[in-house]
Amino acid sequence: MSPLVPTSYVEAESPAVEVEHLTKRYGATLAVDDLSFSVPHGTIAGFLGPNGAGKTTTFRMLVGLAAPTSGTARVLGQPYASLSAPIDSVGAMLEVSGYHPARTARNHLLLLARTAGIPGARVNEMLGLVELEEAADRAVGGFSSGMRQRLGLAAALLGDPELLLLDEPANGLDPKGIRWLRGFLRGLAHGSGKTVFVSSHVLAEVAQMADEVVIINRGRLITQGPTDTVVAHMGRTVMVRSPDAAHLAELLSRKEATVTQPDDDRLVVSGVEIEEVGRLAAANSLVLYELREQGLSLEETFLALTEQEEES
Amino acid sequence: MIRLIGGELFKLRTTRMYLGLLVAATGLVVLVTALQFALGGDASLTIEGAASVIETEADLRSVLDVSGVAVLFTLILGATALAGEHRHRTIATTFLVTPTRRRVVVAKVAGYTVAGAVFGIVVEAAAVVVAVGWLAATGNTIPFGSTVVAGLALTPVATGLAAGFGVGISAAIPNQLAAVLVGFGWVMVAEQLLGGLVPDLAQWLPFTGAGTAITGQHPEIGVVAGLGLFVSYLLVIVAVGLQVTRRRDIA
Repeated sequence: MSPLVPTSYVEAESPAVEVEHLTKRYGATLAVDDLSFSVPHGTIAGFLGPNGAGKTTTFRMLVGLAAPTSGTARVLGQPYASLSAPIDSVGAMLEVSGYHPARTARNHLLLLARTAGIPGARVNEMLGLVELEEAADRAVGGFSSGMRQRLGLAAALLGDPELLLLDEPANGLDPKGIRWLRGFLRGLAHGSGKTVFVSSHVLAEVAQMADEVVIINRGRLITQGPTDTVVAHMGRTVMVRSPDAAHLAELLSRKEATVTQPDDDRLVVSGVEIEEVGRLAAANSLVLYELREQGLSLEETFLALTEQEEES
Repeated sequence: MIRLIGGELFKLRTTRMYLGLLVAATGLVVLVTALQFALGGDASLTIEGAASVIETEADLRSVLDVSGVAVLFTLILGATALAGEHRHRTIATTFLVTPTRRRVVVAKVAGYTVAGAVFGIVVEAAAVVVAVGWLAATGNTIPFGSTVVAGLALTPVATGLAAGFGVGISAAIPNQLAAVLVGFGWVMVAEQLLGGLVPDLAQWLPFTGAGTAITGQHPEIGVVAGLGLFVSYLLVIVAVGLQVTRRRDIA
């Protein structure tokens, strides 16, 4: 029977992931720059940033594989190295992890289980969960990237941890694999109350499942918060389709609106209300095929935020 | 710690490195032992003539001492311990399961020392089978006694400690090829050169001195002193390896 009061009540008060003024310097390169953010318990949080933004370095510092130049990185309220049973508390699937090519998938998991004192029966359970039973006794050297990613997930889940750190888990997966992963992670987080902190540079992946997002670029925090709030904060835009798009863009620019023209007949306008755009078009006898307000997608928000940061 | 050592032995059982080196070392020792009998001091190179050379326990022990070559193999085995994990990028997983790196290095030294000792026993057993078989087949007496037994008991100690020494090199030099070359080069080149240039120094070097003393081949040093000296060298190289391993970021 489940306890009425969570046994980890005290830990639940602190964030599942907490990074404070974290900095990592490699010679002249600043990989992570005074980064601070937190991830609440029980959420799926997306860790977003372009390639080279510092996501993997941050993950490595979170699990003690790299030492911070300054600042702190904590998981479940403490440094990873202080956890008494690390893989029972935090499951990590990192890009820096590899497999011995001659070892079978089953032996890879058995090795982890034996070293961590996890019952061997859990290995079969995990192989089944990630649909690798048939390949379990094959050497990992012959696995496809998708199979390796699934084995990585099985290893991360082996200790039934309450926090999962997944670094670019969709890398190397085909579209079918990505769909499988998305469904798998969604089911995992929403069905079990686990915290999932997942990095990606492919926004569509995260947009469909993350409750929270942490966006970084060039090692610095751009923004953090609930996905809806971050997207809403970027405001709404007006989409106009007109055969006179270029002329209308010029008129709108004079009103100090921000205008982009993705196609010959299409404008995306911000900084003015939709009524103002309609009135301006009517006053200048411009034909409109379409006029509507639209919200930014997470991808557009991400691109806008990282572009703003790069310009500043 | 017992679980960690068990994990290290499991790693060796589930890859081909250990078995490959064991087969190579055993094959080499079987070949050399057989050649010793075949060529043993007789110009006619007949089996009967060769076997007649083995008359005392000291003669037999001298033939079986060839299994000491296993020390070089277990040193190389140890040199792949951490460096091999860096090569295959399994080191990240190892440190995720056991974040205290000192414990990982200590478990590897202990595990590889055990595995190295077993390696020595197997190689030695192969040499004994060839020697005894040859003597029996040629109708000769087998001078098997305490001198031979003492030699047989000490070789696995040397192969075990050499593997532990290799782990120390591996912890200090994370590149596998470099670690193996340094281990091999130290025994086969550096110690030979040093011993040649400064003969008095030779008996105090880790392998040509302390290592051979462990197997009783350096009576002037003695087994116990040789053991103490080799363990001291092992502790120094492991301490250096620990410092490197603790500070190194996993990329």
